[in-house]
Amino acid sequence: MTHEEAQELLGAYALDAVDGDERAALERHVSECVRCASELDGLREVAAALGNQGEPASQELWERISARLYDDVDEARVPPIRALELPHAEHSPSRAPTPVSAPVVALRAAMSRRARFGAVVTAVAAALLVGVLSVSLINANNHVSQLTNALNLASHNVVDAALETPGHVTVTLNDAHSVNVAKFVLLNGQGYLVSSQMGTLPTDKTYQLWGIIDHKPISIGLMGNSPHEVSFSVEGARLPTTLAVTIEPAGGSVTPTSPIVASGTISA
Amino acid sequence: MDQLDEAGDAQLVTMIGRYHEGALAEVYRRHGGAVYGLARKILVNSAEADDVTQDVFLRLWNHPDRFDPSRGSLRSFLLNDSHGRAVDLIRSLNSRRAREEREAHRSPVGVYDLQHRVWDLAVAEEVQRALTSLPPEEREAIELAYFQGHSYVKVAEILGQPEGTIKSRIRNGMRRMRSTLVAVGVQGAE
Repeated sequence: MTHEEAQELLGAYALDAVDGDERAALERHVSECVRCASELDGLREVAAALGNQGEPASQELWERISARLYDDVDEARVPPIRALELPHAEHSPSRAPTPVSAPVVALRAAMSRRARFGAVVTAVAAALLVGVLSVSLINANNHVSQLTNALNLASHNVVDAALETPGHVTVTLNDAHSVNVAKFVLLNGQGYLVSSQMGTLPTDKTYQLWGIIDHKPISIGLMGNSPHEVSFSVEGARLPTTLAVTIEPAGGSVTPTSPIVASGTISA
Repeated sequence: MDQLDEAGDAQLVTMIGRYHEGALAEVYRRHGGAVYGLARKILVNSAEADDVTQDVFLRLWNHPDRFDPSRGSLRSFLLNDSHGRAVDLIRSLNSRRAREEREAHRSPVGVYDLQHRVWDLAVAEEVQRALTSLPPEEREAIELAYFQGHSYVKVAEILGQPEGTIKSRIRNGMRRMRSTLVAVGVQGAE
C-alpha cells in the first residue's frame, strides 16, 4: 500500500469502516509511517467525539464487570480473593474502618494472569539467579531475611539523614482504600521505613515486604508483626518498580501466599 | 493517591496496572456511561451494548498497557474500543431480520438523553453542529459508516457511488470536523 493510498483510507479506518486485507495492509503502513499515525490519532479523536453520547453509568453493569475481573485466575493455585482490612494501629484512631468496596487482588493470582509465570520460582532464588536484587539474608534456611530486630539498622538518625540527603526517593504504600499506611525512603541502595500505620498482627504472622521486578515478586524481607524499625538493601542492576506488603506466616514465605495489603510505586 | 476522584485518567490506568480495582471503578464511573451509550446507539439492543461495555472494561483491566496517554484521551481510547467492538458485533449479525428490527427501533441521530452531563451535552452539541455543517454527501457517508456500522465499501454500495469517492468524502468530512472542533476547543473527548 502506498502512502497516498493509506492516507485516503485513514478517515474510513478511524470509523472502523475498513475490513480484511486492506485493513491489515493499512495497519502495517501506519505502524511504519509517523505522518499517517499522527493523522490517524487526530481522526480517532473526532470519531470518539462523534460517539461521545454520555449516559449515566449503570451500577448493575459495573457489578457484572467487577464479578468477572478474576475469571481467568487458576483458583486451585491461588489463595481465595477476598476483601482485606488492614489491621489498624492503635495510635491511629482517625483511620476508622470503611466499607470494603473493592477486593484486593491476590498477588499470586495477579502474576498468573499478567506475567504468565511458568514454573514457580522461589523469590530468593529468582533474586539470586537474575542478579537484580541483593537481599540481606539473616536466615538462609528460611529463604527470607528477618529485618526487624535482627538487622536493627534503621535508627531515626539514619532515616532522618536519608530524608535530608539529595537524591533520596520516598515510596508511599497505600492500602485497598488508597489510605497511606507506610512510607519508605530509598537512598544509595538502602531502604528504611520512615513511618507505619500498619497495626500489630498476631505473633504467628508477619508483614513481608516484596519488590516487584518485571511483574515478579522478589522477597525483600520480613518486617515483623509490628513494623517500626526496618532497613533493607535494594542494590542491583535493576531496581523494583513497586514495593508491596503481604501478611505471611511468622517464618515468612518464599512466594506470596496472601493478597497484597499495601503497595506503592517507586518513581525515580 | 489518596482520593481516586482527584486522580487523572493516566494515573488511574497506572493504578489499574497494579490491580487496583477501585481505580477501574473510578474509570467506569467517569466513562462507563459514554462507552455504553455509544454501543447502545450502534447496536440498539441493550443486552448487546452491555456485553460490549463489559468487554471494553475487562480489556482495560487485563491490558492497561494498550492505553498510551500521549496518543489521546482515555475517553477517546475507550470510545474507539467500544465502537470497534460494536461494529464487529453488528457485522456478525447477518440476519436481515435483526437488521430490520434495528432500523425500526433506531432513534434519530441527535436525540440525546436528557441526563447527559453538562460537559457531554456541550461537546455533543458542538459535535452535532460540526457534523451538520458538513456537505450533505460527506455527512451521510460518515453517519452510515459510524452509526450504522457499515464498511466504506458497503456505504459506496448503498449510495451507488465509487468506493474512491466514499473514501474521499469520509476523510474530507472527518478532517473538516476536526478543524471545526479544534477551533471551538473540543479535541475529541475530555
